[in-house]
Amino acid sequence: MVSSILPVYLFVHLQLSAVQFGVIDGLYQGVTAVARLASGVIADRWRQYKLVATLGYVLSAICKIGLLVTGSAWTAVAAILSADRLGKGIRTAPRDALISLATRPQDLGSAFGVHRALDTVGVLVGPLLAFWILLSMPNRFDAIFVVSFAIALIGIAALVLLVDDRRGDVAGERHLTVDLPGLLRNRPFVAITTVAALTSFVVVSDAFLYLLLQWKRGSGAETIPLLYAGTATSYLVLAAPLGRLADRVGRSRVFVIGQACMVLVYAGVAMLDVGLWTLGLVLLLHGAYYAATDGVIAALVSGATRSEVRASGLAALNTATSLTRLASSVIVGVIWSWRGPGTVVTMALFASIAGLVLSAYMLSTTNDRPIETGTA
Amino acid sequence: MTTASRLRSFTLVVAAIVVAAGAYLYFARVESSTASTGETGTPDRAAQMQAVARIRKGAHVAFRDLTPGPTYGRLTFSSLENLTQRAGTTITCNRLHFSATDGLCLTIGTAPVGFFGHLLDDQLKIIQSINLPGMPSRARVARNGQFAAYTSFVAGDSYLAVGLSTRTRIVKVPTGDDVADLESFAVSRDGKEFHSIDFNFWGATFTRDPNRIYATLGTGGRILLVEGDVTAREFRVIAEDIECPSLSPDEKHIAFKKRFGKGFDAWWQPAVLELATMTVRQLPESKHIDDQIEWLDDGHILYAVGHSASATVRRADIWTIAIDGGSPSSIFLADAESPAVVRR
Repeated sequence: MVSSILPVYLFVHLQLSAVQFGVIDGLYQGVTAVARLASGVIADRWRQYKLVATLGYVLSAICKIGLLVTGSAWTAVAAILSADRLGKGIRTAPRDALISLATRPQDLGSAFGVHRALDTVGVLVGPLLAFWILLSMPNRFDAIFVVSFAIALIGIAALVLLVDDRRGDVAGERHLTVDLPGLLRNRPFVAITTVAALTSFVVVSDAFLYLLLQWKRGSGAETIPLLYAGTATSYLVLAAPLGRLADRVGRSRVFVIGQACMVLVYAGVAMLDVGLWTLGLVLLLHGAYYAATDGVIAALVSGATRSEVRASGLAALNTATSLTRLASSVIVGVIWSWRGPGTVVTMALFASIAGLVLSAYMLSTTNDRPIETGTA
Repeated sequence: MTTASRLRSFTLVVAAIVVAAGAYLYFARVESSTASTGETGTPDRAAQMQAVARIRKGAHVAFRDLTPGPTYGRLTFSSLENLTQRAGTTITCNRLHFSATDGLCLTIGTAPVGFFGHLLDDQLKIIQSINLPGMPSRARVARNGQFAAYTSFVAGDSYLAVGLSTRTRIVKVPTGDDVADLESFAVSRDGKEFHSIDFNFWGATFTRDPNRIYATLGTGGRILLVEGDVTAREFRVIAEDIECPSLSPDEKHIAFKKRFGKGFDAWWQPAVLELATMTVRQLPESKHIDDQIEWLDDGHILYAVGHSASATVRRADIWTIAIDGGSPSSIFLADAESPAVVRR
């Protein structure tokens, strides 16, 4: 909700300069990745998934109020937004660990699918709500921050009051060491994480895909929010069913199908005239890519890691993918301004095919079956 | 706690949060709504529209009213004879500009589309609404009303994705028919063709012949002033470090934003370029400006200066200064921004 109006708030309302905006945006994107790893390890070490996740949610919630009381000093705004992302970084891995520990191993795909679907509901509704507030009361960003804070509080209340604190207890004792070297020796885990990192490297970011579609269609950028909505709707609808399918037919298989969807997307952009129907199909496939990969890869990692290093494993997965995504965006940006969008499409198509082949090979060497079947 | 009691606590907490947030929204809405007019003796809407029509018959200034309260953000008019009296409309604009007959109002709308450019006719009716590719930035209407130009950011998400790229388009008024995207113009520098994929255009200004325009071209970290022809789709670079030009009514000067400082600490001050000699004149004004400058007359400029911003409100005043640099600046209109001067 807040991220959707953040550029308007920083640029139009507070009138920060381009350089200041750039620094804030960089921090906003970067802080999360670093925080994730640390929080995953800490959550495993303390066996306190719920506590650490709650802390992350609380920190982000407080930051909404922080935005409310900060004026236009851009350094203060930058600090608060960094803290907000820090909160996001802290909560993600222990939250995913909680999801995985509360689920039977054979249902992990479904569970993460449902989570991703609900998450996407927020992604769709949040901006609508934020812009509705802004439209009905010009410049009342405070109202947006307060509503966002209230929704965050409801989330925290649900977490604190309704969620069982799963600790993945091993014989009920407190394990104070986290076997990180063991995690790195875990071949399936390393293979899955490598595949995930590779995939988020060869798949260009949403923003670039939409720019490619516009370049192809020769239309203005005015439709970009609609393109986002198209992908999100497809993702939202497909996340749970594809997660379930992954539990049935094998998660690796569904993950590879997801990558194939992305190959089709680039092939479509590269070869076809992107008419309205093609555009719809491209967005459907783009959403299917997310539905078949994002939650499924979390399920794969959960299935391949023992419960005492679950949060660390999920955190490593998140950090690896967000770093390669960042690197990919920077490289695509350079290619785009150096050789133009045509080269970007061609390269993305070939990179995604290579990614597909490599993942299919690497995942075929790992055991698809959850390692803890029967221990619960 | 049992499951039932946990559910009960959760329901109570949610109810409390919803009530509190709802109350905040309600009071924010009341504060910024027009519902409270009337009983305080504010003239009703019909009378306001009559006042607007009366003011617009003579020389006047259109602007965005920033007086805290129900009229905040609205398109408002004042006669140049009597700046203390304001007549407001119900149209909300972030950036606006007017010719004698037509207006352009850039505004923030609803998701998922987000940002609009409304083209207004003589009666302030919205004739056409253009979807903008991102946040509104600059608005200009040619004095003879044939064309309008708008600059908006593209998309408005990550800078990693698109840079802070801007798009500037020329449209017909008031129909909104697309005339040209400045990025489709051929650019020359010192008689030679000049091209780079990172070209970014913003802040166009029209001459009396709306076919001839000036604009800013940003490329490779440099800021260039370009002059060109809309029909021929040609630009030539005529100066450097002249950002966001605004041509005086007599077409002898260009007022612009001059950058000082670097990086995070950069700020922009108003300055004037004399076109006959291509010399830049500094003005005794050190306040930071953001929006394009407007001309009050051939010897004075108007520009908005923001003086406080928080999550609840943004305050700014419109200042004026003589371009001969002989006198200090003064407030032209308090609590206002985005001025457009119309003389008939």
